[in-house]
Amino acid sequence: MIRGLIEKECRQHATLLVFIALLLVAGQLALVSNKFLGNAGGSSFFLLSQLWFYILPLAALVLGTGLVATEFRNKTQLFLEGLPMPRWMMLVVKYLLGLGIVSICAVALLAGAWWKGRDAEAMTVNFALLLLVKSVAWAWFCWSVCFAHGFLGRYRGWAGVTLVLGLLLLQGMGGVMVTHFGPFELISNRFAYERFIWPVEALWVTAALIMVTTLAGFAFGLVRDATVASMMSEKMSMREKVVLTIMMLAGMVAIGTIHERSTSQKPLNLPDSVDFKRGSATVSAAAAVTTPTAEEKLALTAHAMATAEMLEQVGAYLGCESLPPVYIIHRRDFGTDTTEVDDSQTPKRVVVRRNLLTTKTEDVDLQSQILAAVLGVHQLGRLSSDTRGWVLEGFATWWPVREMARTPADFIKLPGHEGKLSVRTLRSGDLETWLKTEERMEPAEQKTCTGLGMIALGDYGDEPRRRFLGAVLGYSAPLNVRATLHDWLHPVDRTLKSTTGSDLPALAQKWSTALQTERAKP
Amino acid sequence: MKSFETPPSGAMIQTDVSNSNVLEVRNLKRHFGKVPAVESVDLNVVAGEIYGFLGINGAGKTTTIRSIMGIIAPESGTIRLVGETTRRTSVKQRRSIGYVSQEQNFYPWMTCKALGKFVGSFYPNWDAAEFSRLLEVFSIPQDRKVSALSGGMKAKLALALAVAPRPELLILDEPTAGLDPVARSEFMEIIVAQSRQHQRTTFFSSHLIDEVERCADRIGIIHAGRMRFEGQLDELHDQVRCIYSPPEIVLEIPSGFESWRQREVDGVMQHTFRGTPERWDALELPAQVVVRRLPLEAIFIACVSTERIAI
Repeated sequence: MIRGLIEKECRQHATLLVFIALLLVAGQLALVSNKFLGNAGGSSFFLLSQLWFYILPLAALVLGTGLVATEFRNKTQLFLEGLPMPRWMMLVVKYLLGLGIVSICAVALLAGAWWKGRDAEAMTVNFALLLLVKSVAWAWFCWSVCFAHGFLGRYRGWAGVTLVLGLLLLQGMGGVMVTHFGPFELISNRFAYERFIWPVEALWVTAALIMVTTLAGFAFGLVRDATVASMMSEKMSMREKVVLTIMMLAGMVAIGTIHERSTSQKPLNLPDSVDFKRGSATVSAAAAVTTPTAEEKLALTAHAMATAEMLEQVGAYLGCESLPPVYIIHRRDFGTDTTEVDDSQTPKRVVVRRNLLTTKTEDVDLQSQILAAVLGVHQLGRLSSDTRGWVLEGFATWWPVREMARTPADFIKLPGHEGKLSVRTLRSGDLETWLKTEERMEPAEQKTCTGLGMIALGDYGDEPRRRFLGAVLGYSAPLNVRATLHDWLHPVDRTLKSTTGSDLPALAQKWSTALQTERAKP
Repeated sequence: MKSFETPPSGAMIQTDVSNSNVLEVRNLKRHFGKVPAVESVDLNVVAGEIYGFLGINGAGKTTTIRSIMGIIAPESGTIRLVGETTRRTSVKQRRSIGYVSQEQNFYPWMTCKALGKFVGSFYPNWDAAEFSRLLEVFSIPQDRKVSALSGGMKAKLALALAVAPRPELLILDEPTAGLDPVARSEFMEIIVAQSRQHQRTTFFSSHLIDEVERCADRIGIIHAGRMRFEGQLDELHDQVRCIYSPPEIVLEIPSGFESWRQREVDGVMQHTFRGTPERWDALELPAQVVVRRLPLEAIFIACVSTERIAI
């Protein structure tokens, strides 16, 4: 009876077994090639720990689909139910068969990794047991999840996507370290190197998860005479698809919003910092030394205040409710022109490292860099796109010198813009593919060009220019699909039309005229 | 296909051979959520007989059969099967049942022979030779894949699979559903011939009256999850009659009759009642009133169309 069922499963899913065998071969090939590619991580088990993330879940997923989901989808479980065999026994056979296959995969790959690294790895009994237990526990976990997943029928795809996205979101948000949790901890980077300490807690958590998912799988397959699993295996209606899609999007937005609100407003602690809060701007400055000199303290205060005031004005001009905090770190060891700008989107913040003793507070270049970084983080890097890149770069170049350069002729006389321009004519298409257009210019040229663009924009009037820049740069992008939706609903050309009454070709024409001014350079 | 000699219906009624019941169901009840599938079912299947389980779609036939098979658990009631009384049919009891389900959900990639081998591994009494013989009799090629079989052939294959373990009881759940009239007739002939030849107790459900009338020794009628009648066809014909009367005559029916249907057709009132033959014989009616026996189809329609009113 059991043998008959196992033979049936093996024959029915021969293609899947071949696929899993190919996965194993691919894994072994990766392990072999790793040796020739410099042995990543210094151990053949390091690559194995990376492979575990893909091979075993994939093998478990196809098995879960074949052994469980297909049976319900094709309604052949109704045929099996008519045979004199308890339903639970059928499930046990399927569960053990799947577990056996996934475990064999794990052990085979582990043995392969050991064989490849047998000359380099000092194998002890404890280490071998550690590797074996971790690998089998991970395989068991993958299989029990996929076994339960197989019973979800038409909801399998949605559940899988939600699970993977949820884990990625948790990991990406930085609040929860998924890779340091239970089964993921077992195959973390320590997998290849930990020879003595048993991950007792991770093993317990994994065992608990295995138990929960296994029970969930059997519950789906047995409760109410498997009618729940049968109903879930029916095809999905269009209405259900629409509802699920909306629910999924709403869930992602909700998670993003909750995370955004729960994120600390002070993402970095600078000891002994000088803090300034001006309107929407928050700036902290500290020295990267234990005891800063009086001159350094003075420079810190001056720079923090100047930056805060600049950002306050920017915030007011663009209509921003808040801007990412800026942390200025004084580095004595840096040369005069060395600046390091480190921006982070989760949490939103900008760290600037510079030797403040050799820097003036009105340093245009530094202000420009800080502005570009702050506004870039403010919109989670969305401004560095083909269609919006010129707005961010132009604004960051133009803002610090706006009082001195009201006309193109004034602008090109400023320091840093003395060089020749290779691009003299711009079309609207060049603005829509800005990243490609920029490739035709030197870095210094790019600044001159984009700065002239902002001045050309001023031809529509100061207020329309402010409205346009505020609409493009002032929006605070949340960490979810709302930001994508906003970008989609507010393309630059439409924003330009609604704020200035002009369109991109007209702006490109004005811009080209401004570029022609460059010919009049002394 | 080889032909079968089908003995006349009722010629070998097993009540003459043995009085023991192979299957007894008492007060079976099963709901799906708030929907009552089976409210109260009592039935007896005598050894060797062909029992026709008649009911319209959704009457509760399949739920009753799946409960008897142990595929679903009844909420209450008992099932006595091959001498053992249980709440839910055990695996051991199921081994003595041959089962043909409403839809043949076989593995399409299997050949008929492989399917026989697979099913055989579940039955200790599996008779591989008998299975092969039946396939030959039914003109089903052993090496043909199930996916290449027609609906009629699949039904015959299901019957071969159900019969090959030499079961004490053969249960067929609307086995001819979806078959064309020729295939249906042929299939029912095979069932009757098999049952008569091997003295095999057969319980089959159907909503087709002619099928039941032609094959069954005894019948049970189920409606809205409750048994309406159980007995021999002759009993049903004797008990249920229709009274035709002009509308102006108000009938005074004595107690002991059960009203199954009342309606007016072309100015004539038709009252269908159920009562014992003795009561019918003793009934005194006005001269303008006529009493007629009804064909099974009319009886069945009357049985399932209205709620009964006891007078």
